[in-house]
Amino acid sequence: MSMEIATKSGEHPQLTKAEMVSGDIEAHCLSNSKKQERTQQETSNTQDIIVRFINPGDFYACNNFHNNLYKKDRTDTQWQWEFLHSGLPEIPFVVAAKDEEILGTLAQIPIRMIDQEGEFLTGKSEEALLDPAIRGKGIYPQMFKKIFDYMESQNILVVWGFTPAIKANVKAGFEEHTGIAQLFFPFHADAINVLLKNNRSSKIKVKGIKILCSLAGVFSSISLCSTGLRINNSLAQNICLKTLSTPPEEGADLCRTFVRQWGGTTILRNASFLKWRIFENPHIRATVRAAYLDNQLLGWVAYSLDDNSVGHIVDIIAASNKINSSSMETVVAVLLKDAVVGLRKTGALGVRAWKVNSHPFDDLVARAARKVGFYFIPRGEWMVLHYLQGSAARPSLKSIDNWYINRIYTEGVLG
Amino acid sequence: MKTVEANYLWQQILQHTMRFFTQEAVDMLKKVNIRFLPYAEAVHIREPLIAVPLDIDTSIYPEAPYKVLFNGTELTLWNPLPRPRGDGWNCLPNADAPVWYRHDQGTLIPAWNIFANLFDLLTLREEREKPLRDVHGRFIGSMSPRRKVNLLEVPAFNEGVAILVAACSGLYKQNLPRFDLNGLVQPPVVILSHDNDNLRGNDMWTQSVRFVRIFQPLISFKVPRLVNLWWILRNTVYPKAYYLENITGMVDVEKMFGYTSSFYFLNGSGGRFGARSGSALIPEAMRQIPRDWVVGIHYNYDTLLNAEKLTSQLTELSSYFDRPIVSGRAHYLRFDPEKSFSFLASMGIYCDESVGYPDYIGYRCGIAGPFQPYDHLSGQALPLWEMPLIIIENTLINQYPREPVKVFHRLLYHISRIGGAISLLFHPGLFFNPEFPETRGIYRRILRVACQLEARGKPAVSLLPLQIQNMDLTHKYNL
Repeated sequence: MSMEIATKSGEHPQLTKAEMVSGDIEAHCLSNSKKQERTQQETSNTQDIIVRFINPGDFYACNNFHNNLYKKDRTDTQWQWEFLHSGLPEIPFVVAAKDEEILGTLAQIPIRMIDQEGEFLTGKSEEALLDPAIRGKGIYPQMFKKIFDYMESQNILVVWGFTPAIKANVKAGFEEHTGIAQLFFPFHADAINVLLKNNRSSKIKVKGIKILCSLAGVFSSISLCSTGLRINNSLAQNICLKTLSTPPEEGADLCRTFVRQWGGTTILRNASFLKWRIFENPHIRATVRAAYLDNQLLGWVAYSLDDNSVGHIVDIIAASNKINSSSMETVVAVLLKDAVVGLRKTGALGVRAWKVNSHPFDDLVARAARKVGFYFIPRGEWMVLHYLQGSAARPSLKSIDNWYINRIYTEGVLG
Repeated sequence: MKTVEANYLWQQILQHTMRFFTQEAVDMLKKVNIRFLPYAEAVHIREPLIAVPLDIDTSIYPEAPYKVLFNGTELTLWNPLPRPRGDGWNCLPNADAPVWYRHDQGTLIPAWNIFANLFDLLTLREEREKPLRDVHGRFIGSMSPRRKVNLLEVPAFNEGVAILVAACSGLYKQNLPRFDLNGLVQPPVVILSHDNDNLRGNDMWTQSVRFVRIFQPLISFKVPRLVNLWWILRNTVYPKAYYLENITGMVDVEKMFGYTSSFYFLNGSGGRFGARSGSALIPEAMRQIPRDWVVGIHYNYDTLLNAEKLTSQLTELSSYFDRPIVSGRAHYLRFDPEKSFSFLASMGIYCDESVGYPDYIGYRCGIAGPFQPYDHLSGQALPLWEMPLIIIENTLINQYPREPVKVFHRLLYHISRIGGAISLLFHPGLFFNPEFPETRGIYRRILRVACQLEARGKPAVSLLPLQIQNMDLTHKYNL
């Protein structure tokens, strides 16, 4: 879930991205006198709005608030899975409420990360929603302050989130950001409809792009079939791939090896995290294929299929003390190839993966993906960071390029 | 005689309640006094109980269907019963669309002929009385009298049981029937199954059909369907593509939602209506199906009521399987309403999924969930479980081409409000096949809808009593 503030329609057709978070709604509505009157009336009412932590009695209302604003059908079970897993004394979920009515929400999901110095807690920003009627009244900053203060008190070093509205989030206090580009493997021309979802290109242009996509698909398939020529084939043949139905116990150790081998920081994928995030995900459980060499876990790829029949690489990670970095590219290529073949059998129109920054492993995944037949598309949303007290002392948090990021950082609706 | 029928129906109602409702609901259903008796006796009872008239005859043509609001959905009742004469009787919830006639002393009489409606549906009375059959000898949806009044999509049994459970809960707590099931109904179930009619796309019959269809449009002066040449070529080079190879993809998609399913295999005689792919690929297909999934038999076209042929098919199929054959479905849904149930039971089939319409989605037996068919000779339930087939993917798409997934959502949402299980058949050859673009992604989207409604996705046998699920039947076929 991105950190944008939605309107009642679930989209934001009239507001600019800056308006969405800055709450500059009055200016937007100046031309409409009736709306202005209403806004004035609402301004006087904002004094009754309380910003507080969520109570158990609010759970249903908060999910409803989200569903109504976004026109979604998230179930109460899915809501609980997402937000009642924090392990903190207080649920890190702040609401703006007037009487008992929920008018705004802002949540954090504590996520344990790891770098060479050890483990530390971060917070993933979620559910930043404000009723359009109370925007620009200073409610949103109050909510941010309340939850950031709490996160700091719980020794959270940094909070992060995803957004299409980068300017607005920078204004809201997120200091650092990075764009998320795509790696794309086309199977079918219709995949382009998904990539161009909000594009208003002419029909002829779309048709042309579809033809190009079909051609790209042919080249990608040729690449996929001939991957063996571009990787260490003898190593590839010794790698044993298994579908996991439970989280691997070696997950945490693999992450420790990962930060030693590749540097920087990443999510600690220990058994309990993987169980929660993937194997017991009530939205969709990604297929996890693990690579072993001589019974030693080298890494895994997790993939899933969305409603539009587009496949997604949810997670890919690999590390080993026994294999050098260049050979690891073969391991990643084998995992990606397996995911592509698996997703093709599920009827996917194409496969998407992320290319986020210049973390060494992120670059390695991109190189391996090119060998398998993926294309690089420099287009996507943004990831933003906000540092809290104590983060400055941590070298891995000095730059966002130190983060190895992929779709497992998202809320998990796609697996 | 009616007492025997009433006992059978009550047994099915109880089993259904135990399967789809909470233990609290079952307890209340058992504690409340429910009597099946003649109408004349029912109207004279003056104590708080539910009196179900069992002696009012109906025809197979539904009379005066009407709708009532119930637990956030809409129920459809038909064949209304006359309001009892005399003072003290009230209509609940209202006189325009009554569900119950309630006497001031607490007696409840259903306002529609619940006994006859449910019993007739479970015993396939429509098709036992109507001789109409199609070229394959089937009674299809368009022949049903319910089709004409749009009642095929009404799970009358589930609705009747839901009304009874809600009434019992109300009577138990406040002496008045309720019209909701707050906390009493379990999440719905989606019964998933796949008929492996073809494991490869290059058999003579499939290729011939493609070839003939190239020229079919010429009859209506349209451009010939030349693309079929590509499909012919493609499956000549890659015979298993989009058929056998789809099995892995289907299993993967099911796993993503935590669901499992049944795969039914067709072997035995070949020919246009038979096992076009033969049996050679069955072991390879079996290797792609995890052990938690159920495999069963797709009774060949020529095995209808033919013990010798079915035994031969079962014996051959058992040799390919690493698990017992407990369940099956008839190829082309060929089924005899008089004889097939007892025939299948005699052949050792414990769970059958054949009773569905090939031309319409709907509840052929009026029930969304398994039941034990009635044996008219012994007056008892047969040792066979029928899980009627509700939805076939291509029927759903043909019937509702614009919004198949929305229709599935509507049906499943309704079941989620009243309890039950919807059975869905999805062929591997239609799961992902560029030759049939209209079905692309539908299965994934359907499962997502089921997941959002918190449905459980299972094979039919998983709903049956535990001893059947665990039964080791390898000895049955002298293996």
